[in-house]
Amino acid sequence: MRAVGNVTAALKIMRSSRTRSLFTMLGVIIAVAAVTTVVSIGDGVKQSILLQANKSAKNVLTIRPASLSDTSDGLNKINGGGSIGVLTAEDLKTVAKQPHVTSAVSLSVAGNTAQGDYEYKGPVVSVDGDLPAVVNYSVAYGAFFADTDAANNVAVLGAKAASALYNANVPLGHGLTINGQEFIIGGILNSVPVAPLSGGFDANNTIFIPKSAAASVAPAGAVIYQILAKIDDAKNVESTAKKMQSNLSKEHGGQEMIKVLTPSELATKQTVTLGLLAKLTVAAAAITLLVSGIGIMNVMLVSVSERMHEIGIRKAVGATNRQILGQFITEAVMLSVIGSILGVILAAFACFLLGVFTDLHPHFNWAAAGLSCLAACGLGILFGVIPAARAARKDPITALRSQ
Amino acid sequence: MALIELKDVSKLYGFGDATTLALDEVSVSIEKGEFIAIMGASGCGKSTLMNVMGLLDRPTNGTYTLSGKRVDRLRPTRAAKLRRDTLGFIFQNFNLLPKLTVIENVALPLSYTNMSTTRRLKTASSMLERVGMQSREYFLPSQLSGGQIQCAAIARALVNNPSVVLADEPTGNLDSAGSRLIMELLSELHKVGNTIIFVTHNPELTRYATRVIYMHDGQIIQDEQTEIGQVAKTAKAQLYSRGRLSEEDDMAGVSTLMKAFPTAEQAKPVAKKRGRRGGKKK
Ligand SMILES: Nc1ncnc2c1ncn2[C@@H]1O[C@H](COP(=O)(O)OP(=O)(O)OP(=O)(O)O)[C@@H](O)[C@H]1O
Ligand SMILES: [Mg+2]
Repeated sequence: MRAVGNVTAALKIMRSSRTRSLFTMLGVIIAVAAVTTVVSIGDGVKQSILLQANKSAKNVLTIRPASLSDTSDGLNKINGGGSIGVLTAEDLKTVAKQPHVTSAVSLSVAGNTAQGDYEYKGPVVSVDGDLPAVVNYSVAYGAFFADTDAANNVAVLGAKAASALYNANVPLGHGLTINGQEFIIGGILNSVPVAPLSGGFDANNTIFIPKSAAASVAPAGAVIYQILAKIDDAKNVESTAKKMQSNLSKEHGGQEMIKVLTPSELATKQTVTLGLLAKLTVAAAAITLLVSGIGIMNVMLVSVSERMHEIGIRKAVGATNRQILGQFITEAVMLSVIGSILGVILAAFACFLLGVFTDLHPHFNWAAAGLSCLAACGLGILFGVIPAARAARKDPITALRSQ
Repeated sequence: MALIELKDVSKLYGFGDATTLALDEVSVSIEKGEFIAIMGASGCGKSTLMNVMGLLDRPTNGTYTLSGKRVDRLRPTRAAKLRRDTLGFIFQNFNLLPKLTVIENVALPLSYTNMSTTRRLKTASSMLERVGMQSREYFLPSQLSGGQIQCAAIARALVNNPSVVLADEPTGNLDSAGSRLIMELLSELHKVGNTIIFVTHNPELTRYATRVIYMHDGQIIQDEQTEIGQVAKTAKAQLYSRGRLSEEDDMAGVSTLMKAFPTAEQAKPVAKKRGRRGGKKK
């Protein structure tokens, strides 16, 4: 009953000083909106990664050096030149020999620039001809090289790489120079769906060359950065992965230098980086939230001293300390609650806009919205209490006298 | 048993060299149904006495018995509840909260009780009717005249059916017509049995009182029972001693008639002897 009275009174006060209330809430609005939007974006990306993992390569194992398997951007690390050739041709053979493995290909980094009509910076990867069969890449124009035309120096382009290298829409038969070696474009891949922000290997940006051509492009030898193995049936994926892991470890002297990742493990790995990013943003938002709490405290302090006379009259007519405290806390809570709600609405709007205008597909995260609202209200109470307590303790005469 | 019983009540403000003795061993006993005017020079401790009686302030020394209960050492919450249930206040100004309507202001003391909103507003409404303000219920204080504000303040002071109404210069900001309106209202309340204590600087207003208490430097120097309708003797002496024209007045063209009006200047009749105890009105 009295709480309802407090709420209506608080609403009335807030309505009569609208600008001030809005500015107080601004911190809360921004913090809640930021946390919710960032987590929602992360969620959206995570979902599309998982979706992609589900859709494309359910029965493909990824074998990587252990040092790289912790991050999703193993390729970038190799490009940075910090990697040792852990994976060897021997390992490829071992992988291929495992029961249930129908085919296995290795991907090696052979370079990172190429010259077509334009210069292009992107991964040059040497692979076996049966890569498309293993990972379900489809060729839009031309054909993927077979192991037999290896000597012909044929290159196959990812969709984005093709448009970045050439003016022509379909640059089949055009020439391409990689580290002084001439290649001819033999095929262009259909664009492959890749989760945004996942930071993983993106076939769309990649130039594929045959394994046998790698030596001429990279005299030091192309470094195998991952092996892909196709398993005959999805139900054998787990067991094969385990066996393969132990066999590979055995060959490398018992050390787990190589990691065999199932499709779902791979997806999780990719989301880890994303999670880190999200955590950082959430931390930033938490600071915003804290600052907004201090903002609330500041406004409450001003409001309390501005309204000392009101406090005096209320006390004179019989308000107890606790009732005054209740009134001011209610105001702080109302400010944070309304701020939170506006923040959530803003976040929903931002997610909608991002979904429409970017290739991120934020998945609105209610838990994040709820938690950030709770945090905002908690802070609102925490920071509202201090000035409210000060107001409540004022003795009626002092309060009445102050102007 | 007296309604209000003060015994050797002192009130000290500040400490060290800056100490002010605002009340100096005041003893007074007030019966139910009295209509008391408190007079005295500025800074003589009238407001302090009202605040102590109104449980807004605690005496430094002495005892205060209200309706037979010791109340001089109450905890803040108990004091607040007594104010809510047994006392009504009217101040000189800033009585009403500017953001609340008149009826909400009048209902304010009840909002700290468990009464339902409808009953609160009904009670407040009937109080406003009693002071002739029912047509202004939903006005904001800024839309009222000074007299109307004080009427609303009286309605608020009465809304909890208090045993004592305390009014510290309720007519301080009003002209003589406004003052009369307020005093007539208080006087009606007195007729139906309310106990009223008010502070005034205007000797004319002692007409309404049954008893006048004169203060000086924190002490009660005179306590006079008077007839309703007549200016108290001591106050009258001051009033007429002031009525005379000085040479300066003559030069400035001030007439006897103007002098007869209770102006702000005239409202401070008693000779000033402030600062004797280092006290100074803020
Ligand atoms: N909070 C305070 N701190 C220090 N001194 C105070 C305080 N309140 C009042 N005093 C002093 O106590 C004395 C009595 O003050 P009080 O307000 O009771 O006077 P008053 O009779 O009501 O005067 P006025 O007619 O001008 O309202 C004054 O000397 C004043 O300076
Ligand atoms: Mg005073």
